[in-house]
Amino acid sequence: MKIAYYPGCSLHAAAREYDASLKLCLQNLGIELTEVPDWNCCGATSAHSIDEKLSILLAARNLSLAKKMVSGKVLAPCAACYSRLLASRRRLQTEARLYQEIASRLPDLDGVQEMEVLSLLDLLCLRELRDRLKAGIVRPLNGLRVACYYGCFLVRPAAVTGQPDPEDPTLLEAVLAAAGAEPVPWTYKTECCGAGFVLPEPQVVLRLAGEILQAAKRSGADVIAVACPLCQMNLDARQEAVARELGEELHLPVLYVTQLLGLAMGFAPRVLGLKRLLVDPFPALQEKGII
Amino acid sequence: MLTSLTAFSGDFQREVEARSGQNLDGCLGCGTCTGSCPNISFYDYSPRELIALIRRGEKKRVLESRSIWYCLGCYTCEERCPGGIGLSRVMDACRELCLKEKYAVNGERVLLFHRLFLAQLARYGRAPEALLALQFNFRTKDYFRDLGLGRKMFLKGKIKLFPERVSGRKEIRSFFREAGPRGVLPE
Repeated sequence: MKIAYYPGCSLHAAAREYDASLKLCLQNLGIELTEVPDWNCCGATSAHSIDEKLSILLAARNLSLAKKMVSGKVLAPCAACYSRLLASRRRLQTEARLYQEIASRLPDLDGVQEMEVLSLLDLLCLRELRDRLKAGIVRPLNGLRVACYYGCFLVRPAAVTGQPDPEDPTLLEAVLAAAGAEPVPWTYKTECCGAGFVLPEPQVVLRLAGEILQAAKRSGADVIAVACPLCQMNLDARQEAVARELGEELHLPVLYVTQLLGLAMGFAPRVLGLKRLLVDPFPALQEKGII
Repeated sequence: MLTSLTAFSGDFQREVEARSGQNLDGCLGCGTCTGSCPNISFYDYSPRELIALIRRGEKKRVLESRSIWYCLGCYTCEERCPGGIGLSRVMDACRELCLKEKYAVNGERVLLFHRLFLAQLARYGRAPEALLALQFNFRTKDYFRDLGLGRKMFLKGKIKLFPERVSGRKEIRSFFREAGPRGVLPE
């Protein structure tokens, strides 16, 4: 299967291990990724917060570049990029006047309404991949208790993402269970981590990330699995500050789902970028005999 | 239809509705949004109060509220609203109106963040996160903030020193000139 790849800014910088591990996993599943040439930033929260048209233009340019490629499908593994591309595509599809307005500024918009925008979860849960996924597991993550964390944009709003159960999604659980891990039931899987507010108002993130990490700890999880670079950064890089604020030991490694999946597929920790995580995942993984 | 309430609502409600594509007469006043909001402790008016204020035509109170800047855009209220109101788009509309019509901004740090982010996007076509953090600290004169974390992230190879540039930057900049309400980029 060929698919256009929109990495987004984070996967080229702080979340390079997400990019690397995702490419290994998808290659192993027979998916051929081609990066959208000359893609631009999706505008994230900032663009739509103060200039809605700008946010649509930014997303539309990416969609129109991706449209020229192979498959009619584009993968956006960052949850924020996914949300922006998908929401914009939907509005271009349903609002004729908006479409005309954007088309008057962006040549070559024709056909973007049909582009299929996929999150990593959407992709991994395609029926044809599920079977291949099971077949590709050579070192199952036996005994590893995982709290699967979705955050906001992978699931909400369901009217846009099409998720059947936005309050209690189970896609990540299904993928990791197929890799042999034990997903734990817990209550904070779709709570917001505060995302970009970490810069203007760090207290927002310290509180929200604190609640999420505490809930994951209470659930008995060994690690947290994520599929968003912003969530990962807030739960991992800010964990020390959160623990200080709470006066509590946390030590909860926060891995990308593709790093866990990659381990189960037999890839080495080094190529999956496990050393790039701030909370050291090695003790928890070694204890379970996974590495 | 709540005719007794719509009778009170003025141009402001219509203005917000037109910009956000949401029908605020669909608000039942149930407070599910308020009960669901993860950032409510930073708000001055709860989401339910905000909608009521918009419907009462209290433009200045709404546009100068802290709440519109501290909405995280997490879509939790939107997901649960029995009236089907997309409150995040209402918040977007209020912020845009606040800037465009030069109302006081009760969330200057948040606005500064958005503007710096967009300035980089306009400049490079992409948004280098480390540079953004540095700029934010510089503009808020908080020079040593997160220095230790920055060092750790650098050693982990998580910081890119030179921003990537998109070759279609000219086109991207044109989005800003044509599309931006006043004040999208920092002074």
